Amino acid sequence: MTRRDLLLKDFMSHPIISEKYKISPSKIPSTLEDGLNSSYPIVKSISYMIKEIKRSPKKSEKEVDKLIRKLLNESPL
Amino acid sequence: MKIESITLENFQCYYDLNQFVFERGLNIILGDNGEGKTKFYEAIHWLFNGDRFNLDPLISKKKLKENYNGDKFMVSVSMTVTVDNLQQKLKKSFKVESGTQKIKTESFEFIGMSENDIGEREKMDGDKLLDYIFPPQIRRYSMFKGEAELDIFKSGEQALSNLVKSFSNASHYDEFCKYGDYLRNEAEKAVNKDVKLSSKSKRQFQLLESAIDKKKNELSSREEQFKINDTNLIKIKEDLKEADKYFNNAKHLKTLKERIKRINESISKTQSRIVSDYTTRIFDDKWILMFFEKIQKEFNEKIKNEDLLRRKEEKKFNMEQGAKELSDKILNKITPLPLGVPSVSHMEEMLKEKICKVCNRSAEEGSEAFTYMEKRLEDFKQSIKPKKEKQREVLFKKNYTQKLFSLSDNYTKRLIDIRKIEPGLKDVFEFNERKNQELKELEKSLEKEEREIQKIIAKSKGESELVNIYENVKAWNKQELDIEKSKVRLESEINNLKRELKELVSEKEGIDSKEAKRFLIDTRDILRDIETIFQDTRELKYDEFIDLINFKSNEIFSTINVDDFTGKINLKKYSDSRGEQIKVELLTAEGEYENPNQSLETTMHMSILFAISEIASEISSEGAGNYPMIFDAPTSSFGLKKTMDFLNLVHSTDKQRIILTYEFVGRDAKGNQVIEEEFNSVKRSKAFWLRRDEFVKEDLSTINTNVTTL
Repeated sequence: MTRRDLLLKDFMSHPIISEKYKISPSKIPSTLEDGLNSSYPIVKSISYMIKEIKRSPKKSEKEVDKLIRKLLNESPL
Repeated sequence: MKIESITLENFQCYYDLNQFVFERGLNIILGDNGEGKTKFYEAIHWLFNGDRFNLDPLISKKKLKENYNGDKFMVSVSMTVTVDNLQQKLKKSFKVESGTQKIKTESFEFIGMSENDIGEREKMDGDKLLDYIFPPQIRRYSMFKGEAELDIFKSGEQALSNLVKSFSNASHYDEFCKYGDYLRNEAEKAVNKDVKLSSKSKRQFQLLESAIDKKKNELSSREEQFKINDTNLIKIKEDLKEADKYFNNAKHLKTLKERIKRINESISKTQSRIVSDYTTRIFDDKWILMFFEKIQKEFNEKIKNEDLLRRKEEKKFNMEQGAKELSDKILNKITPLPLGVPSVSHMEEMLKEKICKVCNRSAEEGSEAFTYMEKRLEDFKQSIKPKKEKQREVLFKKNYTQKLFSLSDNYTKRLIDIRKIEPGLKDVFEFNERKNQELKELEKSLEKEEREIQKIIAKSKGESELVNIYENVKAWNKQELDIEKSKVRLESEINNLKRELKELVSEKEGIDSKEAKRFLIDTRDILRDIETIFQDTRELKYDEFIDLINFKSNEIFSTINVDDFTGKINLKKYSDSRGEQIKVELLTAEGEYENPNQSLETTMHMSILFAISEIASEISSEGAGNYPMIFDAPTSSFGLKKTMDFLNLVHSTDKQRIILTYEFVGRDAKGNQVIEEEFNSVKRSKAFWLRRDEFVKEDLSTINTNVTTL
């Protein structure tokens, strides 16, 4: 498990994921790769943020904002 | 990482080359106050942090004096360490040229010598090598001077984030919070912008937005004020706690001073009771007469002999005198009849009858016989007449012998008293011996108490500052009360503002949902949730890290304090105007706050440091993770027994620790420094003993510390 997978795992453990978004444990991705392909916008957004923040060189806040908004715009919410 | 050796060359009191070769595990450097412990610590500090400025005070005065004629010599501190079995060496040095007028320092350099995997040595910049072998965040947790520095959270500024950055992955979550905040904020702005574009509720929205902004500003201002109050309150509480700590020291100091006063009084009293005026007593108390009886006996013998001689002489003289008188009375060598024979009446009768009836011859008036009888009668009459006795001639006109006898008698009578002198004198000497013994014991106690005072002064700010603290306490107490009141008021205001803000936000969000595009609302809501997830996860990771330190600290704490009350260390996170902070508390088993004494507080902080060190070594099994720690006098408040227990515990951890302490150095009866027996019970990998040569107080060039490996 990579550092990025661990980060995703930590974020996915938050009760909002299971309680508010009703994502069952089986649908929670175990790797970042899976997260990037998730059908849940919140999972996908978090996964992209991990990818972009933890890459080298990391993207700026503005760039990440643009990317996520585009992503959410394209995803069925 | 392991420190192999540290070498000090002409650095302050370390004249010439002094090398300390260390072992893994516990290394103890013993030394009484002023023998060079702190200078050793300062040498390492200079190696890590020193620059090319103000070098003169670092030069050994002894070396300087030796080279006054312009010779050059080096001052250096070097450290050899092994990291991952490769040897690395750091050396900071400068050259000194000492003329008669002034000292010239030159060629300052900090060099590193690094061994690579194939055993080659490469010269490199000292700072770079230092940061590689001993990163700054590790150095921060590896060197401590005194007990006060052990509290790494006291300074406040960034202490927690430094700790997290150095020893936990929780810092990874910080940047997610930053991004989460930015994205959520942008999403809020997008919604607001969209609502503003709608003409239906424009006016109402603007009013609400303005009211929300106003409330937010008010809230932010109150919260800021609350945090400032909180910070001030913590500061005041710390000051009061500090004052309380010094108060205890002052109280202890006072008790010790009273004890010293009492001991000094006892010393004076004992000294005054010791009989020392022997010369006076020889005469005043007549000790001089102790052996008089013998003299008296001899004197008596002499008088007796003298008397005998005198009497013999007198007898002889008297006899001679008597014989002379007798011969004078004998006429014609005829022995006369005794006086009174014949009697007066016979004589008168014979004169009347003019006849001598003794020789039966006539004695006519005028005849020789008649005249003789007449004279005899007259002599007789004269002899029976009361008459003034003629002063008899004596041999010894003054009766000195008699005087000597009466003197002797007089002395004999006084022998009873004289015989008491010897046992009295014995009593005096025995008493003096006892009192001298008492005096020695008292002086020993005095020395002990004075050493105790030195210890207290060493760990206090000094008596004068103590007085200032006392003066401030009253003001601090009032401030504390005022701030508490202000906090209660602010808290109530903040809660009201939050409630009002919530209502306004809710009203605004009602408009948002009606007026803004659904997509924007959903994006905002998702980004709000993401921000919450990021923040909560960060909090959780920080809490987990703090829990880990708490757990490990308490494990160590209970081991160090095995015989004492320990309670439980509780590291508590809180926020103030400086940011997130850690507060170290001591809780009882019932979870109540306990005010630890200095010794317990030191143990708490030491436990936290050891816990951090353990965590660091778990993160990295070798290299910087397993870093050595250097402590200068960390256990001043412990006392001997607890220091022994503490050192034995440190030894059992098998991690490299260098501890400088003044414990275990005592004095023998002659005042020479000795290592106390208790040190034999201290388990350690290596020990050194620092001692100065004999020196002249006014002459710094006579100071030189000798290093002995024990």
